[in-house]
Amino acid sequence: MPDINLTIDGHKVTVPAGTLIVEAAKTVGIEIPVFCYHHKLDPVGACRLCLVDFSPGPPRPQTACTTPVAEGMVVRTQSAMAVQARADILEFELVNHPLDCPVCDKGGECPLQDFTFRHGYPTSRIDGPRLHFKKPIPLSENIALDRERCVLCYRCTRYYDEIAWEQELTVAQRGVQSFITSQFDQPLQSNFSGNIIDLCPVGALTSRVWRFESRPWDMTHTESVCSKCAVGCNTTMWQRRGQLVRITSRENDDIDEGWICDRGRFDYTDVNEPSRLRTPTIRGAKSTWADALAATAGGIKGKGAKLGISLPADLTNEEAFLFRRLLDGPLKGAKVKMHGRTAIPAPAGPTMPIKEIDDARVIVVVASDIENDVPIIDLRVKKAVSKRGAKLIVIYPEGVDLDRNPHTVHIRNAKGAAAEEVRKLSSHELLQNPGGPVAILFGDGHGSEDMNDLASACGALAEQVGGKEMPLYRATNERGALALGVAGWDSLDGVEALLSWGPPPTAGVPTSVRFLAAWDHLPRDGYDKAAVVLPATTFAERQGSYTNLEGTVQFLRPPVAINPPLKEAWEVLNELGAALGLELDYPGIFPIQRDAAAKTPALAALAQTPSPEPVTGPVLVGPAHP
Amino acid sequence: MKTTSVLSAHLIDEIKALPARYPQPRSAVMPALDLAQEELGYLTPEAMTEVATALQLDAGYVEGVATFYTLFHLEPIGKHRFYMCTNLSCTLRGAEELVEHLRGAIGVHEAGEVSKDGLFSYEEVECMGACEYAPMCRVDHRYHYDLTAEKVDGLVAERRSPAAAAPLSSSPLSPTLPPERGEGDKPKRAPKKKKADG
Amino acid sequence: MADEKSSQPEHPTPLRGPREGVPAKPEGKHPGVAADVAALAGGLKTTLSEFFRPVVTTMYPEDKTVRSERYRGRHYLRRYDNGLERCIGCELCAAACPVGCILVIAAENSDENRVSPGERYAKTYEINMLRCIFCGYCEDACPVQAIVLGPEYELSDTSREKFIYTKEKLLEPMPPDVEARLRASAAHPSPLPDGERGTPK
Repeated sequence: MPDINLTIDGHKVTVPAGTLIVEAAKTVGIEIPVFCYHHKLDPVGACRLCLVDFSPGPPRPQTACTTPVAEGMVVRTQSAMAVQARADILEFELVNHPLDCPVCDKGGECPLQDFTFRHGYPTSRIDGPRLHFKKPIPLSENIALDRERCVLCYRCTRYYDEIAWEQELTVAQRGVQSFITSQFDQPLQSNFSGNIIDLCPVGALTSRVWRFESRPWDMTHTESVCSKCAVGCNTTMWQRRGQLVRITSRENDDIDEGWICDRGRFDYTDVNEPSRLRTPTIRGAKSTWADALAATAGGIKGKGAKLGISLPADLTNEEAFLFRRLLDGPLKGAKVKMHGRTAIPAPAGPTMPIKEIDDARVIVVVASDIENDVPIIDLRVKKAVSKRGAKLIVIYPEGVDLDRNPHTVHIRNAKGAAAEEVRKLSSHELLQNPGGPVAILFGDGHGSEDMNDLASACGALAEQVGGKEMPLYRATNERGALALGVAGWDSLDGVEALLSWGPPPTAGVPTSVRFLAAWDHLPRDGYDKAAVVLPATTFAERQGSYTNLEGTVQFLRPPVAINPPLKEAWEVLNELGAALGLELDYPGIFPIQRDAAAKTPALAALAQTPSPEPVTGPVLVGPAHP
Repeated sequence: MKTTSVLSAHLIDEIKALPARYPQPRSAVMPALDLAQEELGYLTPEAMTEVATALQLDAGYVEGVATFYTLFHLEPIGKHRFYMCTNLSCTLRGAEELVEHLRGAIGVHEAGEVSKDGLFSYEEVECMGACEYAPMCRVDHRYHYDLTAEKVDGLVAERRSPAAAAPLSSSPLSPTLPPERGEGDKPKRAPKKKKADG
Repeated sequence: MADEKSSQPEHPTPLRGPREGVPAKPEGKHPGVAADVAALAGGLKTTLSEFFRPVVTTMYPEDKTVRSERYRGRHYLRRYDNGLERCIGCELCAAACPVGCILVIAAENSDENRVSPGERYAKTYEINMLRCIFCGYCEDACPVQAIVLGPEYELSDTSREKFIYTKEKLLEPMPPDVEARLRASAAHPSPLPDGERGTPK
């Protein structure tokens, strides 16, 4: 696109045509306050806070969030007219806003507070009665709504409409009486509802999980990666007094575009569980790590195929690498089952990066309940369809949320027959002349499909129509574990000894097990019968890296310090290896990463040790920057 | 399709045919809600959900539209609803006394309340564009002009007797609202107004 | 760069010589012994006259000095007349505290367990009195006048742990004169207009 030259407050700015004034101002560090505008949502011009004065143009303030730049435009954000217009709008926003900042969870990271300080009048002239609503209203188990604080920017309802393709949240009544409400006051069902908390520029939508846990200023925040599925969304984890108190999204346009799903946002309270396992026990009696690992080694050594190993979905590349060494050595022949993994084989060649979904003209989603399996990929697909006009073909036996678009072509296959439908697709009218890249996203139908067949069918289709494949792995580090060959898919039936790392096997501990070593962070039923119970760390205390479903290696940073006697998993594996007679003596995680990078081509990225945590500026406008 | 539908089958078919008339299918939501309200008298969440299903929309969106417009009723209303204009012209010509009188005639205490027999309720509304005939009101899609206490009593009485009610129900929702004018009380439209119209 | 280094400016304040600025000794002869004795007697006269003046020493701890009305001693958390705690757990006191001696952990009120008016209350409220510098910023920051610094300054105790004042200790009733002063003081208006939510009647 051609570049446009304009002047903003005397600064010369050159931006692509079509850029909005508010975005152009950001490039030279000029803040134009906004409530309704969000760079991931379509502009609407509802709040009028972004008023500026520009020429050539009408002699009155104009909204910077809906006006695209024009050649030779002169924008004045600080003219007397613009400054007064914004202050007046802020005064209006505050007409009904309650003065309960001290008890509001947004207080301290609230754009309304910040903008009022920076752009508003220092005192209020409002002494009339304010609108009152019942508060707080639970919108769902996780989200509380405070209608008094709402400034009606419609970010939440627009997000639901544009991004999540749902309309559970709506505006009822009109004018000054309008308020946000869920559909017939039913609880929100969406898997993406939590994002409205980040989007809300005031304290109207707040998290019930984090409710009154802390103020923004008494937490430290750590830039990390979500560990709930294979997408690898970037998150910010917030710590207070050694507890993980909040998880918010962190924008990475290559992967998550600033959205995370509710599982990633709210499913963290187990980290702070008081009943968490802290010390190793042997037959219920507290012991030392050395004794417990010796007992474990004694129970699992030399069992061959009679040893079963259950692996968690979120083991890191480093842990998988160490496990590979155990499996190659003393635990050779053991049956391994990884939690949550799909039946999709390791990728044969390069796969499609997530961000390329944006440019696809036709998207084919095969055998995946994409909304629940890889939620943020679902949002990418929706964006490509609704904002970029891609066509969508879904092959799945049941209804999916992509059906909300009436133009979605949904082919309901018989279970196990997805490959057949994929083969028929090459003659589908939408794929005859796609007019651009074709994205083929395939899952495993939760085990119902023959994956070798389906993968080859998808490969063949990709070749025929010039598309790219994206296997939708489910388990957090499935792709990394596949690269290291530890992502087992074996049945654990009939094993005599079981090393159960993470939650117990989904099918339960087999009855044939006589020696059970459980390595978990929470006490669970049946652990009283275990020979050895080892305390495990959670994602909040762990160092390491995950390989996400597109193959990007991302580093975890632990927001919570590890409390002895808890030990990191790599250290435990190191010592377990030594107890099994293997020469393992890594002094830290970096040597493991260097070793893994040298020995596994897929993990070459590990050679670059994680950069120190990026220094972030002061959070002016909360986790979701306007 | 649900087994127990609150809307009749032919109405749902009618609603399903609506989107074809609009460039944006969701624009059909207002006529669809109007049809549903015509059938049920007011809009229940179930009715809104069925409208939403028929139009392939989310019920939340339909609810938002229904709450926005005051002429969509979300609570039971009387079979006949008086929309009494209390805007300036009508008030100057005694609308408030007429409202007072109407309250007595239909036996309610406040706007929105339904009379005991379930036949009547009333609402005070803003200008309906017939100031030259003030005071006026709207009942059952008809305008009634130059109201007096006697005329109000008459309107109530003819709706109370079953014989009079029959012809009214025969013409539901007509797209235009021809004013009902007796020969005698039909004043000429002011030429000025016509000019403005043209 | 090298040029700049070589041409460094001189020291901004020139150094003083050893006697510079000191007044010179008066010139002339020594006044003599008689004058010295007279000066001594003059001094002793002042001393002797003090014997006949009233005593000004306060015999602490038996006697105590009068404190300023606004003396800042140990903290109190206040309650409303209906018994609800004033503190809403907003942590603004902790944010204002220059030494970080206040810990507040908030929780949500429910109808079954109502501790303060409104939505939020302080589940934990602790002040480390060893660290406190009694600056009174917490009192200034408090939006509901929940925390005040009372007149007590004798806070000695027998162990460090006892200096962590818990919420129970801080909620002890205030000396009546302080409470009366707070009520009378126009400097502590109600934070919210009457009738606004949050201020119980």
